[in-house]
Order: sequence, then structure tokens, then C-alpha cells
Amino acid sequence: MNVPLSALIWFPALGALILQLLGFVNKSKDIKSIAVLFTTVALGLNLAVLSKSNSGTYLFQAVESVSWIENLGIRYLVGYDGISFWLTVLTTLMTLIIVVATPETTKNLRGFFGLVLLLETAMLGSFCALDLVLFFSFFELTLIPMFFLVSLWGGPNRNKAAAKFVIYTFAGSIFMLVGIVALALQHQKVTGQLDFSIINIQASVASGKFWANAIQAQTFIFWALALGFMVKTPAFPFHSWIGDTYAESPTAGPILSSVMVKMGSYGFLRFCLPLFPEAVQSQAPVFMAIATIGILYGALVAIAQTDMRRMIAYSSLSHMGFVLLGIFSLSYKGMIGGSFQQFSHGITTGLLVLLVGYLVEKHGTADMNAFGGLKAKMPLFAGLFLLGMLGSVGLPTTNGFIGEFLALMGAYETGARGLFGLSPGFAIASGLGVVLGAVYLFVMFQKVFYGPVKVTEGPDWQDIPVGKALPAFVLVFFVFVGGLYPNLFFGQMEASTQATRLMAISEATKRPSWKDKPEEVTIRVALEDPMQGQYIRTGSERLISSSRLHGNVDEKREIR
Amino acid sequence: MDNNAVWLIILLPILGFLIQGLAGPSLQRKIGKKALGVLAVLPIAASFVLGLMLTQGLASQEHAEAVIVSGGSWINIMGLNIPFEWVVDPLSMTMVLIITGVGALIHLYSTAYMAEEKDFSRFFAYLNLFVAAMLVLVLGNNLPLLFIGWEGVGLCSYLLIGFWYTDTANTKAANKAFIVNRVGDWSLMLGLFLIVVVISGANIPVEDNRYLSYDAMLPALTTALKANPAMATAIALLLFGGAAGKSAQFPLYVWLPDAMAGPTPVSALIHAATMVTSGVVLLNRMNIVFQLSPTASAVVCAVGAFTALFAAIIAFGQTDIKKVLAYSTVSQLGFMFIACGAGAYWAGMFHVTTHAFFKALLFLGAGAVIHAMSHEQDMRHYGKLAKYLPITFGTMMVGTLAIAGVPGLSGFYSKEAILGSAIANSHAGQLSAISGWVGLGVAALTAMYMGRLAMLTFFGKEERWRKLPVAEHHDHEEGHDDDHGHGHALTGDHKPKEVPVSMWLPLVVLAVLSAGAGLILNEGKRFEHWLYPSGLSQLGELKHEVPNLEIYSYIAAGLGLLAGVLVYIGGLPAKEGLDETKWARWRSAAANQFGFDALMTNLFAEGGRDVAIGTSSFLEDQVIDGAVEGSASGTRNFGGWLQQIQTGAVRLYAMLMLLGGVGFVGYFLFIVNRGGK
Amino acid sequence: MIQTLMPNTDWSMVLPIAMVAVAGIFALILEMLFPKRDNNLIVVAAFIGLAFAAALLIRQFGAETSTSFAGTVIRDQFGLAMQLVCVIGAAATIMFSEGYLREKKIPFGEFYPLMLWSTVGAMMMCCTENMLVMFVGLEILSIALYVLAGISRVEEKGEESALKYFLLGAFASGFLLYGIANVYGATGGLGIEGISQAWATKDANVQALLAFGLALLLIGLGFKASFFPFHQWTPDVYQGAPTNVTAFMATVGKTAAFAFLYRLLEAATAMQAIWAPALGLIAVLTMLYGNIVALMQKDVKRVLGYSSISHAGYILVALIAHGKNPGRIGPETIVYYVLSYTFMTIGSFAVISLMAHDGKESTGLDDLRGLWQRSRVAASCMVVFMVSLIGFPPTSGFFGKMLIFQDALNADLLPLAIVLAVSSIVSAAYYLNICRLVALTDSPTEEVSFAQFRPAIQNTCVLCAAAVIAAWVFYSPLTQFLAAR
Repeated sequence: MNVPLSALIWFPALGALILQLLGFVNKSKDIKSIAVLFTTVALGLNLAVLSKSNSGTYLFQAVESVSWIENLGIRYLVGYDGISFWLTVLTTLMTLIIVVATPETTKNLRGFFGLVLLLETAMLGSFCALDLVLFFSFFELTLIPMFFLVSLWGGPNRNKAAAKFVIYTFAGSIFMLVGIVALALQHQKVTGQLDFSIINIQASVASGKFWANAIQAQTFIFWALALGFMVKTPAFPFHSWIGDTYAESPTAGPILSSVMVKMGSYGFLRFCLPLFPEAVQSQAPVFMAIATIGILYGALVAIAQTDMRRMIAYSSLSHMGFVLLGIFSLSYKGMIGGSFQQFSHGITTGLLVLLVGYLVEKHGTADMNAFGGLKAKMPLFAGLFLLGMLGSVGLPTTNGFIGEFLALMGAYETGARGLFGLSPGFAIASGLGVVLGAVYLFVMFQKVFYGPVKVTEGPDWQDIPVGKALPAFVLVFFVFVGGLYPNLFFGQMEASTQATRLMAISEATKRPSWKDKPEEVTIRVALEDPMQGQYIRTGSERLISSSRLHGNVDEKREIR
Repeated sequence: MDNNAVWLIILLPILGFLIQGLAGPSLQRKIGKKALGVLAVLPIAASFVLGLMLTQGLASQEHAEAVIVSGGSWINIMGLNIPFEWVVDPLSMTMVLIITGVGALIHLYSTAYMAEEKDFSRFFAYLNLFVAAMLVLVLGNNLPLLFIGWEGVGLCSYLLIGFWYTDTANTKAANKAFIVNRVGDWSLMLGLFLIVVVISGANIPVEDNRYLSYDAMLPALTTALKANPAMATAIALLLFGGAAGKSAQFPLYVWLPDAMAGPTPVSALIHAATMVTSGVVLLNRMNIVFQLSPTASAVVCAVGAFTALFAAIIAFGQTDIKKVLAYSTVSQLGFMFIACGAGAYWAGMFHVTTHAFFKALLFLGAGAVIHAMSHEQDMRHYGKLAKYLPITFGTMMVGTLAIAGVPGLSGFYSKEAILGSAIANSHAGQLSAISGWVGLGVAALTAMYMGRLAMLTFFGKEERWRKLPVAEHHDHEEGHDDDHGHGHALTGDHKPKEVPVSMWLPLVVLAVLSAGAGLILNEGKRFEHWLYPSGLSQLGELKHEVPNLEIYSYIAAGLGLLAGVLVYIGGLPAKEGLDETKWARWRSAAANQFGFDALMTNLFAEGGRDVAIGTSSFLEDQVIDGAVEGSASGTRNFGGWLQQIQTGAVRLYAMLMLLGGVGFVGYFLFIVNRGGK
Repeated sequence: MIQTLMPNTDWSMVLPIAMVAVAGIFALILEMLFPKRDNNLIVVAAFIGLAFAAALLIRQFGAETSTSFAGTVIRDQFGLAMQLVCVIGAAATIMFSEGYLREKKIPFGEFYPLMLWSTVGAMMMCCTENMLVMFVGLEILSIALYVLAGISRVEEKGEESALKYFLLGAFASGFLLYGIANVYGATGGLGIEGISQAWATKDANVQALLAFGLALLLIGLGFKASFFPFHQWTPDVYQGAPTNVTAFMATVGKTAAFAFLYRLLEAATAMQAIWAPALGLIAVLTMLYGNIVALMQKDVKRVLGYSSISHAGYILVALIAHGKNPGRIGPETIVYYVLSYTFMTIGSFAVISLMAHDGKESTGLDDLRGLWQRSRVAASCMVVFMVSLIGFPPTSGFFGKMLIFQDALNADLLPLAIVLAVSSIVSAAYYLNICRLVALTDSPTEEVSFAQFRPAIQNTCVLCAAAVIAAWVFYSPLTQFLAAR
């Protein structure tokens, strides 16, 4: 069936409204099941929309363009491509997980789910919006619901945390707004009319006319936008909201925010790279440095935390560092790795937060010193936690590995080639982050699950019931799907990622554009890598002279 | 036979893992531990049989060729293709046989050794998983697959070291092992990136973009590196960094001694026979890189030699029987790296093989002793056990003599090959010869500390364990079933029992192998030509004839053993007795690794934590977050201060209006006077 | 000769104003006929009058610019739009006043006529370029407001604020009048259109006179618009005056001031070298001061008072941008912003007025606690208004800010734009705090007895909230309507 993208975007908001209107439903059980229904349908719609997607193109798909504010050149313009593809899936999936995992004992469940659904719409919207003002609107729309989620359902310091989150993000995004307006005015200067549609702006950028003799302005506007995205991502040193937000929110908070932070990294991919090529190239070293510092710094601070949620928060800083590292390596592998890392970070962080949330729900604290020897009492829980942890430390065959591996490789490659004034030092240093990642997670695991059982008063220690563990199982499943069959994800990303990259690095007039005709698309993407062979068929056997394995070149003979 | 069977070799252990891991606890209740144990051993044994068949097929070809079995693609993006593909060649099959063969024996042994465990199935789940990972490591045809195995075995080792997790010390050791290994992995990963960069940088086309698959990469890499030897050194050192982590070379060896916290069969399989040798396997795989870089080879030699010596000396300070064996393992690994550094990669593998036999044997034997001594591991409490544990005693003696390098036994031949080629070849310059001679000395030391171990355990005048107070209840026994109680807590009337058949059978098999393997494999350079058919090596033919090296070796082994026997024939000498204050200074220094481990711990573990806490409490809370909070509260206070002009008094308001107005007007007039500019 | 005696007069231009005035008189007559405390007829009359006025204004939309009454009255789209905003503001205020006045036990009799007449004054200011007419309008507006501020005679809080407002207002009028005199002296006419020619003469004395006069004019108007440092009266008066009067002051009163400032700066474009930097500085101080001080307030009405100061600063940025190059930067921003500001301000004051109960009214921030439990409608409306005041989408406040940014960047006022950004970050803090308070579901501090939510008040909230959001969604048609395009 053919589902319009807007149906997907707005359905959750509609659901939120309906949920508020169904006054006669009062049993929290029913409210929850309704919410579950809505989020499930949303996921279904998402898949229905994506089922039509064509992985071969980098043009936007399912585009809907409704004229909204002609005199300001603002349109309701939505569509998705390979970069937003998996982020929408992540959004709908994680929202469903959240709703399922939310205990029915939560107070004012109706309002809670309303806000969560509203957030889902906001996130989906910002991943699909192709008009800068529309994007900004969705981007800001996340703030108020999140503010209420934290300040009404949060922990002891919820007020501070909530205000900090919103004001900090707003502080970044208000400058983004200035940048957006400036961008539109620049478009007016060049083409004579105000326009906020990135498709048009990028087309003009690709032609090289847009920034002709406006490099100064380009760098300035680039930074204005980047500031907003850096706060959101979060990138060092604009990260200090994340600790409080994770620690003080209800369990849903960090999970949501682990999806929301993607709006930052996504913003870099979607707006900064295609629209500010020269600026991106000249600023790449700065961002590689920021990413590297973030990776190491986040890991280091995470080591010192005793509150598990704070630790996960700082680990997010570290992991999102890898995303930035991949993106700003401006190498194909790196950017694929970065985009992939976005998805896998959402999954693994979500999983860990979910499990920690279960402990908090049972014992009212996330302080790792309050626990000990849990493995003996709750083996299933420990096992799930271990798997999530392995995903987070990036053990091969988990999704965490693929992202970090490719991001690092890309960073190393551009560094070693000395492109864009980068150096391999970034990748080498960031590699240490992988080691530190093992430190904080394994030490935490040891404190909480190993050692003699600490008898804490409160409920007796039962293992997590399989029913409650269901969401965790789903996420674990994705951890390993991502790790063992990443091609599933790459297939959709490749064209768009490559195009985005070429928009950023190839010189004017050679740049691909979202206005390209469908027939030139494939040529455009392929022009980067001439030799892309197909691997010989599965299950085949080849007899080779073992001298090849000793570095001697000679012909290889095929059998069968 | 169809080489696709290689899939089975890997999948069978995984299957075993799934059975044990998912259905284990319930099966344990239904069919009991015995049957479950059988289920654990079977897959490994089956893999071993399959391995034998494949090796058969491989060996039957004239000038041994390799077979690449390719599966689906794992990571396939533009410009990089990493498929699931396995390589069946002499090197991989040798390792497969060791892993599955010795592995199967140790599994069998464990069924009895761990029989008292509650978490019986968990143990075998980990053990099966380990075998699977190890197989992926050696069979994978590209470095990322090797990396999967590399970190996979690391994980299993972590899980097994911390198997008795209620004891914090064990879990700390587990963490240490994993994290130290990660440091090595970091270096390995960088080396791997560098390979891709070098090849693609030299614009050498690689078929199907399989930049990291051996068969496609190694020829290209050779061409690229011949043009750029500096890169060869860089790559080689980075790879060696990884190898040093896994194979416990100085300075990254520190995790291995602590790893003895795991159950003894684990030490035998992972920390003696297989996992710790994967570094040597890596060097053999990537040998051409080292062949192209004498510098790196020299470093490998030096590190190997130093580690061998260093660990051997430390062994003298150890009283825990497993610790002695652990350091001996580190030392033996040093030998293997000497060989690789000298360019005699095959010799390294040869020693890997023989070492796998006798070291596994020794560990299992030690396990038997510990089992008999109810988990007492201090040799100072042993003595005269020969008459209680005849089989253990006999087999362990074979192992001892083998490692000591007594002619005829396997250890002798591999050591000969190593020392010979180290001294005779100049690939690594002077250093290889030097390390060869050092190795000879270490051989003597080895003989001596092994003698010490044997004497203290099996001989002597008195049965010191009778003097032992009732052994306090070891933490890790909490994992045991309650019915088992503590039937054999050491007491005066305690009678050490010989182990059951399922435990001594493996001992016997391994003893036979330790005795015979060397002679057979060395016959007419069989092993060397199996691994390295002539003409393959870039270095040309290796020399290993050193005039009357055998003689020296005989003397070294002889002296060593003799010294060991003479010193400890009278039982436990007072100056290394229970009262450690009486110890000779050098021995107590050796006992704590000459402070090296402590240094590392303080420097990195403690120091690192301090740095982290400092960063968090100062940089994060004070500076970065402080700036945010500060600006917030600052604004607030400023507002409070500004508010003061809001007194509510009209006079003041009018005043301020007037002042403001005057200023405003004044400014206007001022500008006008300046002429409107 | 005849021409001068009988200037061509187009009554239709002043008809809306007359309409409102008449409505006021009619209301007074009604009061006399049926004297009773709360007489709904008066309300009806007021509404009808405003409705007619609005209709008449809209009928003139799109008419080409022209003057009448010897150039004292000008009809242009801007003036019409701003008048409409005044009328809407007045109507909205009147709508929720009904319930509020009942609760506060304030007699209707004086209130409605005064409010209507002061609206007349405001409308006069919107549709003239003649300084004297503007002054008259201003006084009409103000004097009515002085009385209204103190209309709740039981509270001396109100008395005080009324007096304060009066004294300072008189002071400001002095500035204004003196300024008018000087400009007259320089241009020889009361129309501001003369300024540019006079300036062009390059005669030093004339320029001095002009500069002096302009400065004084700006001060006088700045007082009404409550720019720093002429703002001090704002928080006190806002707090003291009855809530509905405050709402009126904050919206209609300012709208008028902005309207004339707009024309004045446009007329004085030639002098921008003089006023632009000074006003820029004033804008910066106004924005920052308003927002920073608001952080510390404990009283909702004071908070909104300071917030209105800072919003005046925002608008000033747009005014400067327009004044710098009137050609490029049109009136859309001002009109749209003032309209949306009217809606959100009156709306939030309407919510506050819910806290009035038989004569008493407690307006502490904590009195808002848990409003959600008492009226979800009011609470969610309040959230909408706060969100809009911060400038988040999907509310008119967002586009308002965006337009100001656009104008500022267009006029190369980047520094002002950045200050605007920073100060609105600060403002988020106290607006969010109000959001949090009204949404709290845990028990309110002490059970304040609330008005039983007079429908009039609630409707006002809902209508304003709807308007605030609608102005975001239907930005295009709205602006096109206001610009008669």
C-alpha cells in the first residue's frame, strides 16, 4: 500500500490527541495498551513508507511539497533518503520500546504517553523535513515535551535538569535560526528570491554560484548552524546538559534523548555538508579535534562516574564522538561508519538505559556501589546487560564494532593521505577511546553484577521476568543483526552518503545535486570509486597456490 | 573431501555453545551433568575429526596448496569488501588440529574436574564458545575475521577467568585481562588500517576490494611495501603490538599471571595451549611484513628474549604451582617470538605445537594435584605426592622433562629449531644471535624451575600437607553443590585420591604426544616443509645448523635439572619456606615481578583512575559544567543587582529618566556637532 | 483661500475612530439610564462599537495612501493595520474584563467608556504624521489609562500605581511637547514629513534644533513604549493596576507608540547616522535589562511587565531596521509582531486574571502552581502563551522573532540580532518556570480559592491561544490580509 510520508509523521501526534480525548479510558492498563497500539501502527506505517524506497538513488523519496508561506519562501517540504531512512526506523522502534517498557505504575500515564507520542512526531518530522524553517520547527518542538517529561516525571533534581536541557539546546538553536535566516537571505541575494528549501539552496550551491565571493559569510553561517547541532549531538565542550538529563529523567528520557541526539549528527550530514562545502573542508580539522577530544574526554569522565545513568550519558558523548569522527573524516568509509554508528548507538544506549531503568524502578537508585553480585540472583538480566555492554564496547559481531571500525578506518585513511589538513593522529588517539570504553563498562559490570551479593533492603531480588525483558530481547537482536549483517543497513545508506560526501568535497559544478535527473544519479555516485567488484558467489571454493599467502603474486586457479 | 566442511568445524562448537548456553540449566536437571558433559565434548571431538580429514586432503596435494572457502559478504561497501571466507592451508589446519584436539581432551578432563560446579553448563558454554572463536581466528581468511576471533577469545577468557565471580579478586583479574588485551587490539586495529592505507595509497588494484583478505592482500602488500620499507616496519610493529597483548609479551604480559584465577582447565586450554599462541599465528600469517622489515624483526627478537628471561627468573619466586606454570608459559612464548623475529616462523609454530602438548599436560597435571589437595595451590604444602598420584606423577614428569628440553622429547626439538635458526640467521641482525644465546640460558633456567616444581610437589622427605590446618573454605567453592560439602578438606588423615579416568586419560594422551610429537614432526624437516614449502620464503632457505648446539643444549638441560634436584632433594629449603621474611632478597623480588606489575598498576590503573576522577570533578564539574551553571546563576544575581534601581520611588524614576534623557539628547547634539558623522 | 478654509476632508478616514468614541459615549449614556453595578448592555455596546470600527477599517484596506484634514490624518495600509490591532486588543481586553471586573467588584460604568476612549487615542496615534495630533491622541490614551489604573479603589496598590503612572507620564509628555516645539522650529511645520527636507538644508542651527527635538520626541515615545531607561514605571504600574488594565496598557498603549515611532524614524531616515547608534544601544539595554531582571521576580504581573520591556526592545530592533532603509524593509514585521504580541500578552493576563476572587487577587508566581489541576484549558493556554513569548514554534512568537532576525540581518544589524538571540535565551528561563508551575500535578502550595472560571475569561484564553497558533499556521494569508495583498 502507498502511505504518504506525512501520514507517518503526524500519526503519533494525532494519537497523542486522541489519547487525551479518550477521557472514559481510565485504567492505566488500557491507556498503555492504546499507546502501544499507536506506536505499533506508527512503526508499521514507517515500514510501509520505506518498503517503497529505492536504494539506488540519493534523491529524496516520498517527497511532499505543500506551499505554506509563499512570501517568505517557506514550504511544507518533506521527504527521506538513505541518511534519514534508518533514523526514522530508529525513532519509531525506540518509541515503541519506550511505551512497552514504561511501567503502568507511572503517574498520569495519559499525559506521559501524550508527550512521548508528540516527541515521536517531532523527531520524525525533523528527520524528514527538507525546508529549513520546517526542520527548525520540528527541532524546537522536541524541547517543550521533553521539558515536561523531565520536570514532571524526573528525579530529585528534575527542575534544574529540565531547564538546563531546554535552555542549553535553545541557546544553540537560536543561533542556528539566525544562520538559517542568513542562508535564506543569501539565496535571495543570489537568485533574487527568499527560499528555505535545502533542495533549491543546495542546487545553487552545487552550481557554485551560491557562495561565489561569499566565503566569509559561508564560514560564519556554517558555524551558526554547527553550533546548534554541536549542542544537540552533543559535542565537546557543549555536552554538560547530557549528564543531568540522563540522570534525572524517567527511563524514557535517556532513551528518547539517545534518539534525539541524532538530530544533531543528522543535521551535520543533511545541512552542513551539502550546503557549506568550502567551510566544511576548511573546518574539518577543528571538528575532528572536537570529536577526538569528545571520545577520550567522555570516556575518561565516564570512568569516574558512580551513577550508572551518568556513566551511560558520558559514554554517549564518547560514542557520538565516533559519529562526528566518521562524518568529518569526509571519507566514504568514515561517513558510512558514522551514519551506521548513529543507529547502533541508539540501539545499544537504549538497551543499557532500559536495563538500568529496570534496576532503578526496583531499587530506586542507579548508584553502582549500591549493587553487587546481581549475576547470582538475576542471571537473565545479567546476560542481557552483558550483551548490551558488548555492543557498547564495540566487540566484533556487534553493531558497535562496525560503526567504530569504519569510522576509525575512514578517519585514519584521510588522515594518512593528509587530505583537508587532517592527520592520522585523530584516528590513533580515538582508538584509545575503544580501550577506555572497555574500562568503564567492565568495571561497572564487575561492581554491579560480580562479587559477593550486597544485601540491600527493599524488594527481594528476582530475575527480570521474560515478559518485561521482551524489549531488551528485541534490542539485543538488533545489536547482532547490525554486527553480523551490516550490509542490510549499508544498502540503503550508500548512495545518499556518497552523494552527500561528494556534495561536500568535489569542486563546484562537479557536485551532485538533489535536483539531478534520475538517470544521471547512478553515474554521479559511481564516479568516485572506479573499481567496485562483485565478490564471487557464496559457497564457492577456490584452490590457490599457497605461495600467494606468502606474498608471491601469481595467477589463481579456479575449481568448480 | 569437500572443503566446505570447514563451516561445520566452526559451527559445531557454536552449536555446542548454544545448547549449553540456552538449554544448559534445564538439561542439567533432566539428563544430569555426565550427559551434559558428553554433549560438551562431542562437538569439539567432531570438529577434530573433520579437521583431520581436511588436513588429509590438504596434505595429499603435491606442493601444498591452499583453499579459500568463501561465504557471504560481511561488510561490503564501495571500496571495501570483507567477506566471510575461510582459508584451509597448512598453518590454519595445524592450529585447527591443536585447538580441537587438545581442546577435546581438556573438555573431557573438565567434565570431571568441574563435576562439583553448580554452573556446570555455563562453564562449558563459555569453553565451547572459546573454541569456536579460536577457530574463527585461525581459519578466517581476512584480518577482520581474525579480529572477530581475536576479541572473541578475549571475551571468553574474560568470562572464564571470572568464572567464580563471587570472588572479587577473580573478576578484577578478568577485567585486567580484557583491558590489557584491548590495548594490544588497539595497536592491531591501527596496523590493519595502515595496511589498507598503504595498499590503496600505492594504487595497487585488489580483486573485489578485498583489501584485508590474505590471498588478495598479501601479494599487493608485498609489492607496496617493497617500495616503502618504512611502512613495513610501522605495520609490523603495530601488528606485533597486538600479538604482544594476546601472547603476553613484555610489557603487556601482566594479565596472564592473574588469569590463573580461572579454573585450571581454562588455564590449560586458553592460557597455555591455544589463545596465548595466537600472536605467533598472526606473525606467521603476516610473515612477509616482518620479512620486509629487519628492524621490526629485531624488536620482536629482543622483546621475545627479554620476556623469556624475565619470566623465567620470576618463576623462581613463585610458590603457587599454577603461577609457576603461568610464568613458564610467558617465558616459552618468548622463545616463540625469538623464532619469529629470527625469520624462522615455522620454528615458532613448531614450538607452539609442542608447547601446546606439554604445557597443557603440565597444567592438567597441576589441576589433578590441586584437585587431590582440595584446591590448595601452594607447592610449599605439597610433597611426596608421587606415591598417592602415580599417574599424575608419571605423566607430569614426562611434561617436565619435555619442557626442560631433554633430548628425544618434543620440547627439545622445537627449542633446538628456535635456538639454531636464531643463532644461525642474521635476518634480525646481531640481535637474533644474542637472543639465541639468551634463549639457551633460559632453557637451563627452565629446566631448573621445573625441577623445583617437580621436587616440591612429588618428592621430598615429608608430606607437608599433613601439617596444614583445616583448609579454610575457599570463596570459589561457593559455586559448588551443597551435597558435595567439603569431603576432602585437607586434614591430618587426608588421603589424596588419584583422579578418575576421564581426567587421567587426557593426561596420558598428552604425555604420549609430548614425548613423541617432536621427533616425528622434525623428521626430515617434515613440519617446516609442511608449513613453508621451499622457495616461498622471501628470505630464501633458512639455516639452522649451529656447530654442536646440541651439546650446549644437553648441558643446559642437564645442569638445570641437576641443580633443581640437588637444591630441593631435601624438601622445602628453609630460605624459601612459608616464612617469606627469610627469603633471599632476589627471590622475594622475583616473587612480586620485580615490582613491574605494581608499577604498571600504579601508573595506569590507579593513575588512570585518578586522572579520570580529576577530570570529572575539576574539568567537567568545575570548568565546563561550571561555566554553564555559573553563567546561569551569574545572570540571576546580576538581575538581582540591577533590580535595585527599581525602588518604586517616583522621584528616583524621574531622576533616572532625566539622566537618561540628558545623556540621550547630549549624544544627539554631540553627533550633530561632529557634523552628523 | 477657500482651500485653506475648507480643506478637502474624507470623513471615512476618521469614521472608525469616531465609531469607537461614539460607542464610549453610548456606553456612558446606558450607564446613566440603567445604573447598576454590572450592566451587560454596556459590554454589548462596547463590542458593537468595536466591531463596527473593525469592519470600517477593513473596508478601507487596500485603499491607496492618501491624507486628509489638511494632512493631519493619513490613510495607509500600515495605519489601518495598526488601528485594527488596537481595536482587536481593546476587544480582547473587554472580553475578559467582564468576568474579571465582576470578581474584583469593580463597577462597569466608568471602565468601558474609558477603555474605549483610550482606544480612540491609540487609534489617532496610528493614523497621523502630525505631531500635534499624535500628542493629542497620546494624551487621550494616557489620561484614560491614568484613571483606569486606579479604578479599583479598594486597593491602594492601584491608587499608587495610578499616581506613579500619572506623574511620570506627565513628565514624559513634557519631553514630548518640548520636542515637538523644537522640530516645529526647525521644520516650520507640525508634520514629521518635513524633517528630511529640513535636515537636507545642512544648516547647522536647523540640524541642531532637529536633533534636539527628535531626541526629545524619542524619549517621550520611548516612555510609552517603555524603553530602557524610561521603563521604570512599567513593572510597578503593571503590578498595581487591575490585570485587565495592565493587559490593555501592555498591548494597545504600546502599539500606538510603536506606530508613531515607525513613522517618525521613517521620516528621519536621513538622520539615521545620529539616531541609529543611540537607539541601537537603547535596544540592547532594553532587551537585556528586561529579561535579566525578570529572572528574579516573584510576581507574575511583574514578570510579564519586564518581559513586555524586553519585547519592546525586540520591536525597537525592527523599528531601527526599518528606519535605516524604509525602502527594503516594510511594515510587515512590526504589524505581525505587534499583533501576535497582543494575542499572547492579553491571553496570559487573562489566565492570570483567573486568580482574582471576590475583590482579592493574589498574583504571586506560586499562586500559579498546579493550575493544571484546576483548569486544564487555562493551564495549556498559558503554556502556549509562554512558548510563544519564548519564540518556539509552532506559535506566532516564532515567526515574529524570525522576521526581526531577517530585518536585522537585512539592515546589517548583526550585533543587535545576536543580542536579541542571547536575551531570548535568558528569557526562556523564566517563561519555562511559569510553564513548569502551571503544569505541576503535585499538590499546590495552599488551596487558593479560584474564580469559578467565568466562561468569558476562559473563552478569551482559548481564543488568544488559538490565534497565537493560527497566526503560525496561516502566516501567509494573515500577513497578506494585513498588507491587503
